[in-house]
Amino acid sequence: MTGTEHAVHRSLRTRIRENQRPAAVWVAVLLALVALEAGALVDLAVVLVQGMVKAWPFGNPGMAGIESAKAAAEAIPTLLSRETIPNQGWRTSANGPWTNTFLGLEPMVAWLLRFALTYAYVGVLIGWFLYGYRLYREHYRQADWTPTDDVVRRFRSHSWGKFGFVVVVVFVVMAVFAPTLSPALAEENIENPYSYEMQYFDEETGSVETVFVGQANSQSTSQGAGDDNIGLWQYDDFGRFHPFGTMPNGKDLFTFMMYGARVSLFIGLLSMGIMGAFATVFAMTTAYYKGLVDLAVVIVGDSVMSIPQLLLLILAMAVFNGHWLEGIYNGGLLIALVFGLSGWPGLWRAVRGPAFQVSTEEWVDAARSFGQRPSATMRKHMLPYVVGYLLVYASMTLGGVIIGTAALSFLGIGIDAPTPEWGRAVSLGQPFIATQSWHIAMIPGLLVVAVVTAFNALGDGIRDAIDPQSEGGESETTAAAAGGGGG
Amino acid sequence: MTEVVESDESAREEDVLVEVNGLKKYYDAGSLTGTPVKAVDGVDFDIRRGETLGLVGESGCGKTTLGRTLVHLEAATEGEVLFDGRDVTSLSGSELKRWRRNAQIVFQDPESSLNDRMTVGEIVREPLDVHDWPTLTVRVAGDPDATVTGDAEAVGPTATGRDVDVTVTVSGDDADVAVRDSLPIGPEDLAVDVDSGSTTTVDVELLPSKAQVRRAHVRDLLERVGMQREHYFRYPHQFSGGQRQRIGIARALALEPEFVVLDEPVSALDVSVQAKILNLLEDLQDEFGLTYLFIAHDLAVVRHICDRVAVMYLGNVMELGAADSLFDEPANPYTHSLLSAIPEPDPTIESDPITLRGTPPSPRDPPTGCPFSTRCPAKIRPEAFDDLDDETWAAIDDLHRIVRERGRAERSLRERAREVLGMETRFSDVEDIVVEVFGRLDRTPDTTAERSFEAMMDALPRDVRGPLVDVTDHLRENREEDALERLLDAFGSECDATSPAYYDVDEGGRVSMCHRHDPAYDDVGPVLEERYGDYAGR
Ligand code: SF4
Repeated sequence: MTGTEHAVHRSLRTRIRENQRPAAVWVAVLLALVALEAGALVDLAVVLVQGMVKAWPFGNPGMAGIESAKAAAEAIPTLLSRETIPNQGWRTSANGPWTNTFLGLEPMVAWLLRFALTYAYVGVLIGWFLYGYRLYREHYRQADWTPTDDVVRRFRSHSWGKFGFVVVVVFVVMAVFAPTLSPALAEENIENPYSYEMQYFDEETGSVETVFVGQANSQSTSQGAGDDNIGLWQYDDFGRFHPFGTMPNGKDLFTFMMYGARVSLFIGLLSMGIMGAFATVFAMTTAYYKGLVDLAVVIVGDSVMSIPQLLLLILAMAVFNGHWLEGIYNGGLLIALVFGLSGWPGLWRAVRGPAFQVSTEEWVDAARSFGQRPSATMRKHMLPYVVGYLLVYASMTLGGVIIGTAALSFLGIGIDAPTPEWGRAVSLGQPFIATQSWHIAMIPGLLVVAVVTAFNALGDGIRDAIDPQSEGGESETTAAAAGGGGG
Repeated sequence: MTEVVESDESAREEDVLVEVNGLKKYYDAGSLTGTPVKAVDGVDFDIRRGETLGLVGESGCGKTTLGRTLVHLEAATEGEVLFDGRDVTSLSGSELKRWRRNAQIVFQDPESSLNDRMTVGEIVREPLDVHDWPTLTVRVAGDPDATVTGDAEAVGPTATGRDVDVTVTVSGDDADVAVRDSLPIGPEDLAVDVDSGSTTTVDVELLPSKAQVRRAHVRDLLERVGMQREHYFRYPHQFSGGQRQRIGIARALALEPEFVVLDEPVSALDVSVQAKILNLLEDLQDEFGLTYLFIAHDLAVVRHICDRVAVMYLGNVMELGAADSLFDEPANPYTHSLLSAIPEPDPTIESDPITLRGTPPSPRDPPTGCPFSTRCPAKIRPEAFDDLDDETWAAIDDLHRIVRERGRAERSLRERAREVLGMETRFSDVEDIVVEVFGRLDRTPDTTAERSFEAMMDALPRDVRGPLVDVTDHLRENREEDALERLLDAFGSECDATSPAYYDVDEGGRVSMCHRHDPAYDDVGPVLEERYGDYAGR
């Protein structure tokens, strides 16, 4: 064994040590970028844990700790936060200057600035990761070409898929940065409006007055008739700016939508995780062992599929009413569980074909011929060929879950008020759809359609990227996913 | 020349590596569908150490299944495979895994045999990782009781060759270390520490990591099969079929097996590349002392590379013997037919190939008697029909095959309904079939005349006509079983009745499975000559 032999084989760590500059610069910039928004990210994590613990039936262990963690998270200086760029303020006199807003700007401008900067930040962050991938390819990867390169290249030239990706990112950012993007905090504006006070300039008295947020809300309602409407891009009488107008009860629709994205995304991802885990394990084992194992899963899967999903959801919501499980995220966890546990057969069937196909490849036999363990064979030689299809169908099914969740809320049995959920906004706004307050139902409806379409487009893009021969099957799978996920 | 083989004592004396006895592989035996597919239906043969045994036959004859069963990719239904005298068909678990190092397989399709998502290096290295190679077996010369500690394990004094990685010769507290050539390490890569107390203890530490040794071994292998060391980080996509096959060969050789099954290793490659791969395989065999089972359908390739050849048909070995003599003087009618299908390299020699009529029967339903009996050009005919001409016989054989086929074909519900309603089904055109088969005989003087069933029957000899009328009647009533029975009853022979034994057909131990080697019958060569004249492939 010669010295050069050792030199050629270097681990990634050695390769980085030998050429530190690009990696060091990249990591430093990344850390700086993350540090800018660390507060927002920690806050999201704390909120998720809090939701779990709140509903825990056996006391609330460490609730105090979580509260202090939350306080600490809020104390982390964050560049793009409500504190740095506040948009809620008041005039000191009629047509006088604004106080308490960022640089004395009017609330709309301040909010818009914060909104735009947040998306710019995310754009930079994504760009930085893409740049990192390129750095890795140029400086650290030992193979000059990998099959992934082709996939990336094909996806980059797939405009429909890229459109889907962009919209999905917009949606995910809504969920992650909801407190930053909203004109008001959900806690103050939606959940406990009578616990918070606000100030405004009252033209009648000619002075700055203080009211409960709830009182202000009740005078800013949108109910169609007369001047009882705060529509798109309008201020209310209290100097508050409403990008999407207000809801029938005067709450801010935009805030409602941002926080609603959190709930949708949580349910979507969790149910997708459950479905994906079942589908993957079953697809691998049935394709590897075939025969009786396959038959057993087919029977179980068909039985599960034969239960109408909507009925099951209604049943579960009724049975678990008041149960602690139902308390977690106002029923969000329960919905996700039902979707996940009843939806996996669809996903499994979608990937069963590709899994069987790859299981007949000779390299799987080759692995058996030198005694590779079945689990390792499935992971190394079969899963990589199935995971793409899994992503495709998962992203398409995810749209269905989002629609299903909205449908439940629309029917009044999904996520409990006051937690925002898009379907409930559609339901609340439905009586006013023909009036000037059309925005209440229309905007959430359009957003649901946009997000579901985007997930389908993303799925299409991934599929065409991993399997260049599949072009033309587009309409078919889209229809299948829409039909299968309707809930 | 014509003696039933009693035992294979003589073969056993030669150094036999693999011995196959009565091996059977049936698919879905015992399932609800009833009859199993008899892919391999009882074969016996030996493979001698260092030789290349060819396995030829048409596709679907079971040769690939046989090869896969030998490397334990399929579980044998019955019979045994002795590897170095030990039956390996019943191995499982860690014993099976250990044994797998000895027997590897090179697959037919280089497109499918390499995982495209792994680099070439990862592919060739995977078997090494699975077996935690190198095990570093150490023999302490002259001291079988010595204890070995550290990264290595001791082997007994009988182990030789590949089984001994390191040999340590102890003199006092010093040790002389020798490392087997084909390992990518030298004595300088080992830290050997000898403690000669009451019993000698040898402590062996491997200085480079095992991963480094493996990677070096993979690079050596890549170079050995004609790739470059730098190809370690490339992906299979970046290589041509021939190069991919080289990678597959490197993977099969990574664990240093003794026995390699080559499953049509060149048939998916360009002709220009085939010869290179074949040469590589021969070189590797010489260098590593490999034993090959070479599965192929291309007889020219087999003749070039194989020492002995087994000819398979429908799950049975029809003839087995030294390649040269088998090709020069085929004994079995099936071998004759296969050889006569090879295009004559010299176009001035006029010869007609013996065209095999029909397709092989389904392995789910092999014929009774000799497996080749439905298509055999030399099939024994009953003496009563000695003077019946060959064309009529061909027609009778055709009819026989058709009746067999019909018996197998499932009738759909729709056809059954049509039958009940008295409508025409595809099974009702019996007379047309008979006219079609026998009409070709051209017995009527006026060939342009419309041949009626009756006219055609009248033209046949009386002793043929009788049974045929019965057969037609049975078929009309959809009693294929009875029709078949009547056919066999009238025209059948020993070939349909009993499965032939193996006969020794030359001094070199060549065996062939055919009743014609029985002195009671005429031998194959003269019969074929009589029936086909100057046929090719003799
Ligand atoms: S036994 Fe009969 S059918 Fe079989 S090969 Fe010999 S002659 Fe042909």
